[in-house]
Amino acid sequence: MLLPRSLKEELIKYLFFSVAAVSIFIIFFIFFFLFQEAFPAFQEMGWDIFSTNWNVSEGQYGIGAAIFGTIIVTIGAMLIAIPLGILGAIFLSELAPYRLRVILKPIIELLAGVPSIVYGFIGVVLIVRYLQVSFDMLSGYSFLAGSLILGVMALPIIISMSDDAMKAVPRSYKEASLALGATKWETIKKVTMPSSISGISAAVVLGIGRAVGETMAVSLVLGNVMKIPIPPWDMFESTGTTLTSLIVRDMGEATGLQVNALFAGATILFVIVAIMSISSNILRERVEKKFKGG
Amino acid sequence: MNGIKNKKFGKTSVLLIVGIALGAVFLTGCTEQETTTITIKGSSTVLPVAETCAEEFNKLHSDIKVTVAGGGSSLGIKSVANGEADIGSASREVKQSEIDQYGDIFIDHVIALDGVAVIVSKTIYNAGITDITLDQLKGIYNGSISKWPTLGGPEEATFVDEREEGSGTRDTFMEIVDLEETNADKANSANSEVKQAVAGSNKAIGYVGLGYVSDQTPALKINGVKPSAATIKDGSYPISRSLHMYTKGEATGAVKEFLDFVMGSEGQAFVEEEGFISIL
Repeated sequence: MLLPRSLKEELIKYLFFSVAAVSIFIIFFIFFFLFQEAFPAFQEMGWDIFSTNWNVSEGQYGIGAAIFGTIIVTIGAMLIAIPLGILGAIFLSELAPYRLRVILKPIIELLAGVPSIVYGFIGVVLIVRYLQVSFDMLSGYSFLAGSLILGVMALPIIISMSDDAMKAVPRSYKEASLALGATKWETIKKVTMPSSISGISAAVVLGIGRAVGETMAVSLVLGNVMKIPIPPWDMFESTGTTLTSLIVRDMGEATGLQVNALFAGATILFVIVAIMSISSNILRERVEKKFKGG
Repeated sequence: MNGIKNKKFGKTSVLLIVGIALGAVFLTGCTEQETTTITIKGSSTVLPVAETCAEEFNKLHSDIKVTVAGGGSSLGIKSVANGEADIGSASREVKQSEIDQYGDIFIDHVIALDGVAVIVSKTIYNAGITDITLDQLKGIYNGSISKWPTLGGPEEATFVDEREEGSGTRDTFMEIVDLEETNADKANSANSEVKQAVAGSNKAIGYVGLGYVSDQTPALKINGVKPSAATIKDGSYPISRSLHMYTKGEATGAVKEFLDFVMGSEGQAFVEEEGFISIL
């Protein structure tokens, strides 16, 4: 109470700084630990770690099939979630009547809070069964089922955040556009979307992040086998695994180099997410520059 | 004045609470010393037997508490070797690699017999596939047979279900069918998951413990022999195994008492109740 104001201010500054520093340290240690544990796998196996030869009894730990699975499932999920998410957000922020919006928005946000195991369970009981019966698939457990579930899981994030971004576009922009005789659709396409593109791409990145890192729901519907579809156009029908499900499946049993191989998988996961995040940032800056310059 | 009085009262109550807490800790400490705890870890196949036996055993012995956890045969053996569990349950024998790693410290107690049944979807069974040879099984699991017509079945691909690495059921199956690597379509973490996947499909094949055979997931004859208690006991059914409880060195005291209970007539009744075959 009796501390001079300036000292108090200083103390609070340092307190906040140390809290921020702790989180940076934690990230740094995770980096360090991941790379340290993964290093022996890269050292021992070289490029073979990216091969598809996974055979525990022979000590071969090529995680190529899991990397392939992660990429396929993520692409599939994004093909579903990005168009649906952005169109949904346009409807919600620009077209929906106020009363409908007030009801819809909280419901969509609630979807984001559903635990992933629930999505997985629904996936096993409904989607897998449905795919098997309706499309005469081998089993229904498939990359397609995984993509569908992840797409739905990413939807609420993309809709809600894109909606926030579009709502944040100043009203005067839209009014100016409409006053110049542009239609509602032209205004959305040429004014609202470009001005909110940074928010929309942030939403998409978060959605991709969830899809890449999701474990539970995916491992329930994918089949968890280290396999690359042959022939390749069978990719949606066949079963497989992702890096996350591989780690979950094997970490209890793994010993020696296998543990390092799993850490290598985690590192690759990390690198994939980092590349996505950086490239999205570059993209965002470019679009922003163009929009502001034009 | 009032504020000060409140503060004093606060102090007394804090003391009181600390006293009660200390007393509680002290008391629990006392009771814990009197009870011997036995920890069992390992095979999910042995789990139901171990659980019912532990429950009954705990009722009969107030001074011994048996706790049971799953995790797979490999974990069971690892846990008993490093002292995390008193008994490691396994649905396979200790491997040479494990003896090399932990030393020759394991004492084997065979508590039950079990067969690994090969189950198929009902439609496949009804279409006439009721018998299979070990060679055909090998072909299905290594991918050289990928369609049912090869075996005289309906015009469908085979949906091949296996268990994950670390499963004792998998180890037994792989060893007897002579497989190193599989080309299965789905890896399952439990017998019940295999059963669910096979029951929900119209072209699936999988393998489970004998207790998981049902009308929806009928078992195939292997080389003409139907899996049953009799054929497993007399050794004519090829894919059979014994269920084990391993201890580190000879079992003594409460652990020995529990093992005697499991291997005695009462425990073996539970073994049969869970769908396994009694050793008696």
